[in-house]
Amino acid sequence: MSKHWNGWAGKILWVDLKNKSCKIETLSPKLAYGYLGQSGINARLLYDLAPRGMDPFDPAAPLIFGVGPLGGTLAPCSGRFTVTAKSPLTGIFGDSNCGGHWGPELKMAGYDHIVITGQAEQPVYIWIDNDRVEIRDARHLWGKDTWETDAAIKKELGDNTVQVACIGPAGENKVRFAAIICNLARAAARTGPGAVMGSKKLKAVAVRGNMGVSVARPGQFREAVAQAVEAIRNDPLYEVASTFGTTAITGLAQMLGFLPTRNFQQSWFEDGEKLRGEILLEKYVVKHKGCFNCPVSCSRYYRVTDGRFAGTAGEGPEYESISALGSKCGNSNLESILHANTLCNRLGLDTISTGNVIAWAMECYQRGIITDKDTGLGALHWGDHEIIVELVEKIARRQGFGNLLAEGALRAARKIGGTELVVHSKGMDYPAVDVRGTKGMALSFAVSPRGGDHLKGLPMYEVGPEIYAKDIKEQLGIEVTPNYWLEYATKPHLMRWHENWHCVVDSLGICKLEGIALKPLLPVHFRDLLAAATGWDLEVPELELIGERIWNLERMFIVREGIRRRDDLPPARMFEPISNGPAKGEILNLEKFNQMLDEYYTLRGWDQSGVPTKEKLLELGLH
Amino acid sequence: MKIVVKYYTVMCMAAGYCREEEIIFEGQHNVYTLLQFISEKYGGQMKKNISSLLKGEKNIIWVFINGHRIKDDDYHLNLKEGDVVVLTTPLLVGG
Repeated sequence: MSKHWNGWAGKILWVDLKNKSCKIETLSPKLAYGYLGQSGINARLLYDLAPRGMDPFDPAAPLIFGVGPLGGTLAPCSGRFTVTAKSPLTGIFGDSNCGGHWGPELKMAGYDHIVITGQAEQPVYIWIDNDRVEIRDARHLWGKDTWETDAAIKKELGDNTVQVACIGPAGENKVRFAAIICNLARAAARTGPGAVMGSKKLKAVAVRGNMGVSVARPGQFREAVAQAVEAIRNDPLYEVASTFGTTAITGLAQMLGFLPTRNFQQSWFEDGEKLRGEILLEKYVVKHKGCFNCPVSCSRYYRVTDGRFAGTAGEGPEYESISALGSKCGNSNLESILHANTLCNRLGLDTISTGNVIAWAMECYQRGIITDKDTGLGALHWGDHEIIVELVEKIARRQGFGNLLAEGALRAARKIGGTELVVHSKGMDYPAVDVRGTKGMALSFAVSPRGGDHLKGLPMYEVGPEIYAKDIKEQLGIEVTPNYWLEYATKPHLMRWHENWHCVVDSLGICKLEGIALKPLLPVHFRDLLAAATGWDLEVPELELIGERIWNLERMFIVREGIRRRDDLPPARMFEPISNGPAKGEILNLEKFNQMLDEYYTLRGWDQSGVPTKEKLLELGLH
Repeated sequence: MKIVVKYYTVMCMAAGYCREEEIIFEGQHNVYTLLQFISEKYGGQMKKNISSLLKGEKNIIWVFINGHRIKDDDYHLNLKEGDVVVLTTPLLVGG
């Protein structure tokens, strides 16, 4: 079927690294209309190409990049792309969403997706220059960090505007939580896609595209864009997001008592005041930065000018990174966190899993499970920022004790003990939210198809209930109370709605922070943007149904791998009372959690073991 | 009477990056008079933010006393020696 595409570029690029061959296929309407794009189509391709039990490092295992139909258009915050692969960290479904400028560039080169299989004999990189695709020698790049690689490729291609997504030494060494980095600091990191890229000896994917993106109804699209931008700028939290980004959370998390501290042993950090975003902004931030076509520009560029870490510069860090490399490790030295953040970006590591695995090791040391002899580095005391920085390097290079930590906390614990200390779901370690105080997030982290994860179902309505009370009532029929986050009731319904719509947002190619997360954009905005861009008119419930289809497909992927209800329970630590701070005594009640899970499965049309029923799959066209 | 006031996010910026300060009052004061005092002290954006808060125009400032958030119509609550008052914006979540 031949078709002129609007919104979508209409092409999938297939690259076989073993045979050094490429082919371009037309995007099938069935895929586009069934799964929208980006993460949705990626998930479908992964489901079809990665059979049960496939090793994530199997040469045949696919590594899939995707951009959504709104990616690279004038739609606000449309700079995202998704990388999908079987996760080397968890062995189940893996994907990671990334900002910057690489995704739009791929779209403007004429592609919606790239599917990479095979393993090169020698290191290579892929060079996409609109219609021209080359697999190039990258032996001279192997061993370089992401900043060096980015610069070397741009120099080699003689174009400083080329967009480069690459791995650093961590990906080359198949560290199981290695990231793919673009624009020096934007990371596709969670679930470890950088390790899959490294296993294929693929150092980078460089793209130059100047073909633009066509939209079906330009006038209508401009109007939909204007309405979306206005909604974003009028959002009550716009100024906070634009000024602080996610670092605004740090002080508030501390104040409310859910700042994970010392591997979640505490939820309030006695030195937490030193990690506040306000300090970062006042002392270290030199300018704000934004991704493609973003009216928020939530990112910040920092520089440390004196002291032990003088010369450190980079972008970020996000709240998650501050907590992972800071409070979770008992570390209050903000400059060391900035340094470790830059190191993670240069070496190509997920900051969250890096901090978490170090925090786990520190608790193992605290409890005598490991000793100075095991670490080879001496003591692993909480808050020792020099050790933290040293471990980041050693993990990326798989040196000494870092080689064990490079396996991720759960695998490392299975080798040396301390599995009960790993705060995770399905093998992926928890982000920086103590879910004992946020019951919806507890459910969200537990059922996410990629494991302990705050983004697949991010329930913005749970933590900002009053601001959005009217919308919550209109969208979900829920009446919120001031401490809504502590309640169990209505959370299965809340999560199902958020999960479905996050699938839509991630598949359209809009940023999470501005999409549903910050909440100025409602389903009607997505409907209108999609319709004007693609010419495809859908009603809101039809769009949500696509989100539901994607969520169920990802669930079926992990069910196929053996995941069941037993894997949907939070880690043991979450069923112990919070030990300190303002939320002291707060606990996740197992019986009430199970009641939430029962209700959630029922709402989802899954049986009580967590498997989607045949009827549900038929309804969604997945059977 | 000594009150500790903590400022977060945009309120911290409006206070010239002051994150925490002690304010000493003579006689009895309540939340409303404390907010008015802070408004006059810093002026500018702080004045605008507090004015919006008190008028209920823009529901983005939260007030906590000793860890407990007060309701919008509780500005008449009397303060006492050693109270810790927090002025902040609500939580933002994301990647």
